[in-house]
Amino acid sequence: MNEERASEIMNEGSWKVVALIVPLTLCFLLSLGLVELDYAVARMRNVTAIIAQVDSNNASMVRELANALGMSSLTELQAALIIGLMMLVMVAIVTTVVVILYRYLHCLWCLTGYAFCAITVLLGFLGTRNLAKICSLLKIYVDYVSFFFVVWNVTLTGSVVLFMDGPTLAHQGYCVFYASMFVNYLLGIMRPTLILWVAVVLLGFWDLFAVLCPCGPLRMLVNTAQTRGDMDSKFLRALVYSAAVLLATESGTMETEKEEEEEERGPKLGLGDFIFYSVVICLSRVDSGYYSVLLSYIVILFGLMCTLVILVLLAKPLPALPIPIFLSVTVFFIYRYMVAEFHDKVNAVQVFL
Amino acid sequence: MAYLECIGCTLLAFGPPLAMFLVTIASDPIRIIIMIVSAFFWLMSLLATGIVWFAVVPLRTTLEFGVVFSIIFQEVFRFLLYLVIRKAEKGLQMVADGHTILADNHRDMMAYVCGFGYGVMSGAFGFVNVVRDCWGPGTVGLRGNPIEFFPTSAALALSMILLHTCWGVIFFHSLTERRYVGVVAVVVSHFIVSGLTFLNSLTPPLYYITIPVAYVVLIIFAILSFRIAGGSIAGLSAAATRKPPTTLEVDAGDDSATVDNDDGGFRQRQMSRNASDEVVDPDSRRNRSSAAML
Repeated sequence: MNEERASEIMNEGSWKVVALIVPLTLCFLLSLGLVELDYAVARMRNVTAIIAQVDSNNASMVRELANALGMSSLTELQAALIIGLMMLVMVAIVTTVVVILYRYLHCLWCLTGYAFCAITVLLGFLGTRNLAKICSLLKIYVDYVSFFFVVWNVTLTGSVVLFMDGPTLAHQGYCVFYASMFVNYLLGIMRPTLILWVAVVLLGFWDLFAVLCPCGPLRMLVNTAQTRGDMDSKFLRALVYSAAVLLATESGTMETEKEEEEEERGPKLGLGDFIFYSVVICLSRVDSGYYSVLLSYIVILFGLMCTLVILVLLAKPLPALPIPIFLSVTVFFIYRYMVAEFHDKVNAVQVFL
Repeated sequence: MAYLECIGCTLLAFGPPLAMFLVTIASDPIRIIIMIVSAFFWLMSLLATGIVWFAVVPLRTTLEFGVVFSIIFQEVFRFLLYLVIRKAEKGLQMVADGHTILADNHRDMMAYVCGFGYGVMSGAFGFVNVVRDCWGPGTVGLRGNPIEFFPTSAALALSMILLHTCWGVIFFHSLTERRYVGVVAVVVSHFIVSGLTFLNSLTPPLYYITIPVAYVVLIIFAILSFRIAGGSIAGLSAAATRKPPTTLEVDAGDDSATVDNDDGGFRQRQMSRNASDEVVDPDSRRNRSSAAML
């Protein structure tokens, strides 16, 4: 009996891991698809000219930053560090404000209201952007009325599912959809890509601090939510980065156990984690190619599994970003600058390792 | 035209492994996890190779040096993977108070999954960018390059994937049994197959040597691993005709003979164990597993 029980627990635990791997994979695929969409649109317009223009814009962005700081010139890495730090400070401020509002002022409604508006606007904006890209790629001519009819419906359905009630599957689907569109947007605005690499690593450190440090804002948020017993509140269900969060990932197979065991739930992964894992995947695609994507994918999954093992051993909230992000960024740069050349040579002459 | 060739080559290389994955691995989460871990180990071996190749500056132009190191590192990491798996097994048994929580044939099963994960990574890292180029636009063969480049790459990638699966089974089994002949055989045949692919880099490439040799080695090792895992011809025909007891052993109607050979060995092993242990009662297994579910 004991034997069967043990194997059951083992099996259950590993199903939960797989239940995380599947939505992550879908999110990565969707993000990669959007990147490919960008490339396809650029190819269709046949626009080396536009790409050159974007590059010069980026260069001028770096220059403007240098001017604003009163420095004569700035290398790309310095600019990336400065922008990443600015981003980090903003995330820190926003998270702190959220914690203050939630923990000390008890005004959940204003947080929920704000998050609802923000997500609706972002979904609408990103949806418009991507739908327009698809239409221009397929050369479909649409009038404004039907275009915005579609966008409006998709957007509002998303907001309602994320903040009010809806089928779990729809909730999960919208989380993946939203995350990958947001990743695509980040990739578009944060050029050159070095900025995003630096920002992702800095966010890994921030996550480490915010969850593990006793005075870390995310830790306080989660503790408060647990003591108040509203981990499932609508606000926490859909916050963007930070504590954000809960992507319920029980798969259908686990429904039966849920009835028996109280508090038996799947591991939770923040929406922010989805976003920044996908950022690493897409950055690998943009900066190197599909081998790097495969590499980052396996390494991120491995890092996530390590995190889950530590989670089981320590039994307390853990940041999900640091291990996968640091591992995958390290491995990516080793591959890109040391291994890729060898690997390409081997591939080109059809030698199999 | 490019699209067609691309899809065909991709299916040639990854179709059989996909079938193997769906039939034997996808139904069990523990196997999926082990497969990811073994894929990670293969990547580490690739990185180690790359770093050594990068560090030794004078030999950077000679590819042979890197390939030799790559094979050595792959086998070393396979050994490390074996140690890790054994360690994990012990840890699991400790957690479960000495009870065996893994199926009785889990050793060979894990060896198979590890080998498969290794092979998939190896095949993917030999072939994904080729697929990417194959998608077009453009045509091969313009500058006197061989026009068979894509199909031959696909065939070799497939042979590497299946070979790694067999090597995994044999390597792990002979380490467990402490009969190191198997380990030596695996390493030597790895050197032979990989070394012979250098004939592809000649002009014109000698595909008619490399591909037959790879597949002959594959067949030999498939039969070996089939025997090692406890398969027999009678069991194979039984597995093909009788309705198997669990979803795991459902015959997929595989599309190529080699897969049947290789993967049937594993299926067959389970059949023969069932037959000997539980006196031909296909339902007993199902009953037990459904009891565990309730």
